[in-house]
Amino acid sequence: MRVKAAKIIVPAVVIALILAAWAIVWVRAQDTFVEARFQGRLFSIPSAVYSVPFELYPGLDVAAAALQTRLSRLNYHPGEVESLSPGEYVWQEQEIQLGLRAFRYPQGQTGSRHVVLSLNPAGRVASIRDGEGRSLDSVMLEPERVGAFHDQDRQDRRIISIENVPELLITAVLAVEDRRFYDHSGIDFRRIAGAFLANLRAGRVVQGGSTLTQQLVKNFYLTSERTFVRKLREAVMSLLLEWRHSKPEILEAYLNEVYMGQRTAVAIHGMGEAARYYFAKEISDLSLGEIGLLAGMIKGPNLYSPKLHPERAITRRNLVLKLLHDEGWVSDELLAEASNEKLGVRAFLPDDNPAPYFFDFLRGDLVAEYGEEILASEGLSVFTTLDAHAQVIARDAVRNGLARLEADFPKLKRESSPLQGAMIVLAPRTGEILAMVGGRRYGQSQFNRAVQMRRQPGSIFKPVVALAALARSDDPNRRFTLATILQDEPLLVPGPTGDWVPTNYDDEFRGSVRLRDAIELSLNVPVARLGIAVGPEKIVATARRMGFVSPLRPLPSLALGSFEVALLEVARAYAVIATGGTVPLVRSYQEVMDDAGNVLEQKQIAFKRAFAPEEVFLVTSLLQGVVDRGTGRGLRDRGVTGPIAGKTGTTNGFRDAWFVAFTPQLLVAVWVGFDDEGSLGVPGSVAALPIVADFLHKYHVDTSAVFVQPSGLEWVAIDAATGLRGGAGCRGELEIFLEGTVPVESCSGSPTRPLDRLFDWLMRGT
Amino acid sequence: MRVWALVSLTVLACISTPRAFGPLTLEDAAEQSTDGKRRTSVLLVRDAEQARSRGDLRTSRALITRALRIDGQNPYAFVQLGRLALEESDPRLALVNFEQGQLLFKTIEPTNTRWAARVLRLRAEAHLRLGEHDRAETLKNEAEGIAPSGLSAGR
Repeated sequence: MRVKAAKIIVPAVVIALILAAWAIVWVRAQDTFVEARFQGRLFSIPSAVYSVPFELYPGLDVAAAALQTRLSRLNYHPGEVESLSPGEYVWQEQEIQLGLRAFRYPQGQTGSRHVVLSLNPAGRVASIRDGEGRSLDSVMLEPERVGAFHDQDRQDRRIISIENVPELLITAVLAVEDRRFYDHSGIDFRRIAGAFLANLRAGRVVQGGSTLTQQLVKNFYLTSERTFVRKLREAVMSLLLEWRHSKPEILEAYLNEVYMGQRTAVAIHGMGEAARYYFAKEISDLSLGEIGLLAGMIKGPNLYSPKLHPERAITRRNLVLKLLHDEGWVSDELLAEASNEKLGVRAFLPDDNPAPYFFDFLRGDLVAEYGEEILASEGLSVFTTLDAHAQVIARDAVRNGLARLEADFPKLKRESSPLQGAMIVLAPRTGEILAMVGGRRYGQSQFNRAVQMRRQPGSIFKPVVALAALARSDDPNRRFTLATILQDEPLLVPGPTGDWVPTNYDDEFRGSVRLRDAIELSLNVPVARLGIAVGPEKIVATARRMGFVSPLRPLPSLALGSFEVALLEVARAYAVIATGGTVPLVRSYQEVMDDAGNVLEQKQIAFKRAFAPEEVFLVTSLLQGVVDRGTGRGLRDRGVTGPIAGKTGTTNGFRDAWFVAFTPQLLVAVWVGFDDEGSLGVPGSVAALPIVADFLHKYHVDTSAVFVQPSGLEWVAIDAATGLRGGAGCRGELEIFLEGTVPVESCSGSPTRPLDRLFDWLMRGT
Repeated sequence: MRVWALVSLTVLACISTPRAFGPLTLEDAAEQSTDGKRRTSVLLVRDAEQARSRGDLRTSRALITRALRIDGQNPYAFVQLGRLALEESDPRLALVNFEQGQLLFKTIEPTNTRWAARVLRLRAEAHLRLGEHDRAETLKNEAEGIAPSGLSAGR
């Protein structure tokens, strides 16, 4: 009998021991698995990309600066003076009250605060005070989040610390998801039994038995498959997690992990991101109603989405609020108030990323520095140079400009390979890219025509030739001034591959013209002659100093822009003129900060002196003439006022239309054409200039700044026909010269007299 | 007679001695500005200088960027950028910025001899760092001619 019993017991014990050993090994494996992820970085956090913050200061014209539009883009809502919350404003005739949100800048965290902008009758900010009435020099409106770099999971998440989560939000979440969270050890057997009975009674699944810890384990480590093994693992891992970690740690992980809805292809995870996405708020600034809504949404983020189903969302919110009230967390008054609260959901922005091409360009810059993986997972904050307001205006100016062209010239309307355009807006003094449009519709074509495309610049290159010619030269045969007479007569240049015969756009020849007229009227033949006289090698060298990096060959046709360059190169080269001869370091971002607030990188404003300021000012004067009298006068016809310089460009066969314009503070460069290089049939002044004019109007460019004239220049009256100094009987008009290059000979045939000098002085005075 | 001679000599001395005009400090420069944009921009440069003085170059740079975003033609901002570049041992970049600042001073604030002289001295310092002693000496002398060092001191 004993032997028989032993025959059964021993194998059973052995089997039990083996099973126990296997169980220990298995549990150990689960423990290792749980800890491996929970100890390190819990989540991949996308890097957030921010626009430039907007500066508010006394003297600011609030209408011209489009303050209201900027506030709307940041989802500021009208509020009440007595109870102004972050993200709200009160706009009155003589005063604007703003509830600024808290924001973590690279230079430190700013708290949410109340500021008051007093306006003068002209609509300018007269003074800025804080909530306590203290005067402030300036304040920053927080930057707009214009996008994020995700990994393949495409999850948006903003990590929050449990200390910063409002107590009431925790209470609400636990009330609806796991009432006995602080009492169980990962599994709530009472809840499981209750759910089992409830489901049995209903005949279908109406209640879940999972604790908050189990939900976390399932979402964090496992899949949603409904198998026994998966459920067993979930239970064991929940127990292990609770054994290893404190309740606050688990709760924090849950609040950062929980799925809270969808923003197009991107999933919203965590309460921090949900607060930002739905209400454009920090989690600490949520109202009671918003807390109730977020807690209620966990059950079905899309089902109860306030954006998709507002009625359903209100019902669910009020249910959660009532629960809080019934448990004594919320008073009758608060319940009544919060239940009647509007949803306060951030308005749907039709296009949350207004700058997709800029974004791609930025990604290129950042990947080179940080790598794709870090960008997608380390939660960096990238502070770009983008002005979101300028970007929207630029994008719309390109789209509207192209549509207008198609309406005016129906042959330009094509179904396949439609008319395209690109635009870059730069702050030349700081080298910051304020806006970038790489094409008409990013959804249809991601090819960035502002950066990746190279096309012939045509006449847009003529200022380079002018600068090469006007710069001081030791060679007496290569000294040119704006009054130098050039021949506008038929020209034939023999070459190894055939003769080159440049013509003017109107096929006319004007005989003798001044250098100034040749550029202002964009005459090809005299500029081709000038290019030959200056020397193609010198023009290539000048272009290189201006920042052109594309291949350039020293051929006579170079002067008319016969090679290919990118729009960005053109913009940078014109920035050299706008800054008085310095090549700015063109930047797409200013600072990069990690998720702990450490600044990883800060770009500095940097320049390289390339030309003497007085030499460059001659070109600026020339390009001001283009806008005032020449091919760019369409800008004036469209009402653009103030100091502005510009140049049109059109290539052979009207394949490319260009226009670049700049003020002392801002530079706008536009290209229009077809990807397949089809003919536009219209010049740059018709295709590209109106787009620039539209942008300048809507952006309300500051016209108070003037072009700074450096020393070393003098204004002298010149006879337009001969380029000689004005004199008796041939007074002429004022022209600007480098000191020492003024013509000595007078058109009257006599040398310059003191009277002529007096005349110059008097004319300058006008 | 002697009194007249004394008065004449005093007047002559006042006329012939170069005098510094212009704001002594950035605070003064801001206060003297009638344009709100320029005033705010200069105040940010003042803050940038304070940050630089305490060794916080990063904050200083960020403040100058803000200043230039508000007013891209603020000469004080370029001078401050030059100072930062000097601090970071980049005299060439410093020179470009000082020259830019000088150009703006000459045209926007032509009577501000105090700052014109300061920029010349800073340029001299940058040239000294580059080992260009003769150029530095010339600039220093030029600065003395505009505003003697005792009169243009301060920041």
